Amino acid sequence: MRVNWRRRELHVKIVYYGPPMAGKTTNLEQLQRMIAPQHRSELLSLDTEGDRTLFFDLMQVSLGKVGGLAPRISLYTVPGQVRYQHLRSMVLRGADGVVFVADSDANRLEENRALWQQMLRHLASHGLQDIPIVVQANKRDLPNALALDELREALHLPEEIPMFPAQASRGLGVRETFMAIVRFVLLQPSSKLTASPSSR
Amino acid sequence: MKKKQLSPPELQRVLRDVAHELNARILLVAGSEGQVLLYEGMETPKTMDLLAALSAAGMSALQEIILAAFRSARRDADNLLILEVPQGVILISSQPPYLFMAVISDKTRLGLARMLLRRLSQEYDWSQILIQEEAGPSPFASRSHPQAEGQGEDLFAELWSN
Ligand SMILES: Nc1nc2c(ncn2[C@@H]2O[C@H](COP(=O)(O)OP(=O)(O)OP(=O)(O)O)[C@@H](O)[C@H]2O)c(=O)[nH]1
Ligand SMILES: [Mg+2]
Repeated sequence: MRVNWRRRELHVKIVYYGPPMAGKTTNLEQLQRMIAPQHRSELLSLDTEGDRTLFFDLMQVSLGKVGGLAPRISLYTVPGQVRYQHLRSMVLRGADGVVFVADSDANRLEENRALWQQMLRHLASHGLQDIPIVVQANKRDLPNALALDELREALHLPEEIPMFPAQASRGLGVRETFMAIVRFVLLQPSSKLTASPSSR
Repeated sequence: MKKKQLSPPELQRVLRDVAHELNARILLVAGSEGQVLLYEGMETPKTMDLLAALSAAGMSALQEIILAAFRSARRDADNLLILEVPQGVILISSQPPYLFMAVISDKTRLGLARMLLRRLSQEYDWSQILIQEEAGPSPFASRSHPQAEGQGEDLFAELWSN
């Protein structure tokens, strides 16, 4: 988290992480629809092949001024496909918070687990093991959706990590997830302001 | 060499002079991860934010390639990315912890641009732009405060279009 003195802005980076096709890009697309245009940039999707993310998606959102500072939130998604491991790690650098988008599909449990473990490793390698994390259980509409408790257990989620049910394709749960991670990042008493861009 | 400690308005003037000398359409200084510190140019702040974020991403991708190609490479080394596009030349110079990005005309000498960009990072202390509040609490941190929840709501005031 950085403060730009001149522009009285607080810069925050949030990354949507998760297995392939879980709905990360869909979350940003829905936010783009829901957020008034004057408060956001266009959604930038780099190098997509069909609807698969190959590089990352990026959208910036400005929030209302609080305490004289205007938070500017950069939302990134990572590509879920296995071969983009390094890119996922790269996008996580400098993150202030993460939304893990899990796929509720019972058949995708292993993939959820693998990507969750991988994310924790990447975060630790960047010294970011303590940043806020929120989990979204997406695709609640699927007939074979796992129960929320089962998903929680499978990922060994600690109690303090909140989980939000969602059906991102219809915009359900998207707003709640976004607001939760933003609050978590901005309002946590221990959150740090860094004076130098090198310090994380 | 000790870096010059200038006030933010003075740093802005330095940037303006360099932009002028390079005949740059855009010149911006960002943190290595792409947060804008200062800029010169005719674009909106939103566009500058996007350009800085994209420049950082482009530089990161380049560094991945360099690291893959040369085992001895370092992530925090100085790197210069030069892109020629029909509109001119885009220079992205990574000088951790900062990133400089310039859009110049193809008539500007590249050697001069490279030298001036390097000088920007070597001679000036850009951290003046950031509030000096190492490890302090977030300005919004007030969970123990009775109005913490309400303050959280203010954050999202007027955000939603419906
Ligand atoms: N049934 C169902 N499908 C969904 C839901 N949310 C997203 N999808 C669909 O899942 C597919 C993948 O969505 P994306 O948002 O592109 O997934 P992603 O996580 O960005 O995928 P990668 O970029 O490849 O990692 C799309 O066809 C979406 O329409 C949901 O809540 N329910
Ligand atoms: Mg995607």
